Amino acid sequence: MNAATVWVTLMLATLFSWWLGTGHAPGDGTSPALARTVILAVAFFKLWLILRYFMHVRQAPRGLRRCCDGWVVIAGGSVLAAALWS
Amino acid sequence: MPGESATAQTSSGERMPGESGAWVFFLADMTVFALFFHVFLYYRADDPALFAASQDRLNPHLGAANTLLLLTSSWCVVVGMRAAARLDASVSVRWLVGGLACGVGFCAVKIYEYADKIGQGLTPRTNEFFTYYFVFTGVHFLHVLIGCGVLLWMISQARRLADGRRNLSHMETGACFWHMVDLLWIVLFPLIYLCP
Repeated sequence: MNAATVWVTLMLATLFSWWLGTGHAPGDGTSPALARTVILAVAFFKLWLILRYFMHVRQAPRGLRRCCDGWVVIAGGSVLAAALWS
Repeated sequence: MPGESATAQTSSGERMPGESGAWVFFLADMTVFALFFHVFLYYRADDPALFAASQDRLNPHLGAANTLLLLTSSWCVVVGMRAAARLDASVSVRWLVGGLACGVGFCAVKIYEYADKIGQGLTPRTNEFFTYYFVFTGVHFLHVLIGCGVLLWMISQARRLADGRRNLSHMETGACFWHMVDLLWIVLFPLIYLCP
């Protein structure tokens, strides 16, 4: 994926989160916890894209790749769990 | 190759983006912000009605505009660094200036937002939500200001590429700092402005 494609993906994902977070969740019965979790999952996906493609972690030595992937899994996973159950 | 790192490639095909020591700082700073996210969610769960009512006083459109500005800025910096790797000084400077302009745009929107909130009597002492809003976005804003300074320095370094003077590893460290500022906002924005 080249930088322009990553940028367009990030912009579209932002617009999706903004749409979802400004009262456009599909159906009245959408759980706030679910909407919150989806919005934050999109955010951590975007964060991972920036690390990987803009900060060039995908080409980095294995140690740095593992640290960054580990950070995303631990920070993202714990924040998503907190959002789902809060 | 689009998105290619500016620093030298090792024989194994791996590249260290910027200086390795800087990554200790980046990961530590990101971890501090991850703790901010947890603190916010923890206290939000204590009083969801107060947090929801306070969130309604924020303008999510300004937050979204700032997110688009930072993403565009990051992309400009990626393209500028790619030009720097080719020693194309004029193209590199042009894109880095574009990145800085988006960063300055972010600052302008944020200052307007802070002035608007304070004008409405909403300060860090209003309630718990606004304490976290001002502290977390304020710490991030400080990062943006430092990042704008880093981009100014990168522009000065890019100008020197025309004289054959390279400082690509330091420039790439600066670029990574700016991308980190972007990715911290990527979570802060939906957490504070959007999450129902």
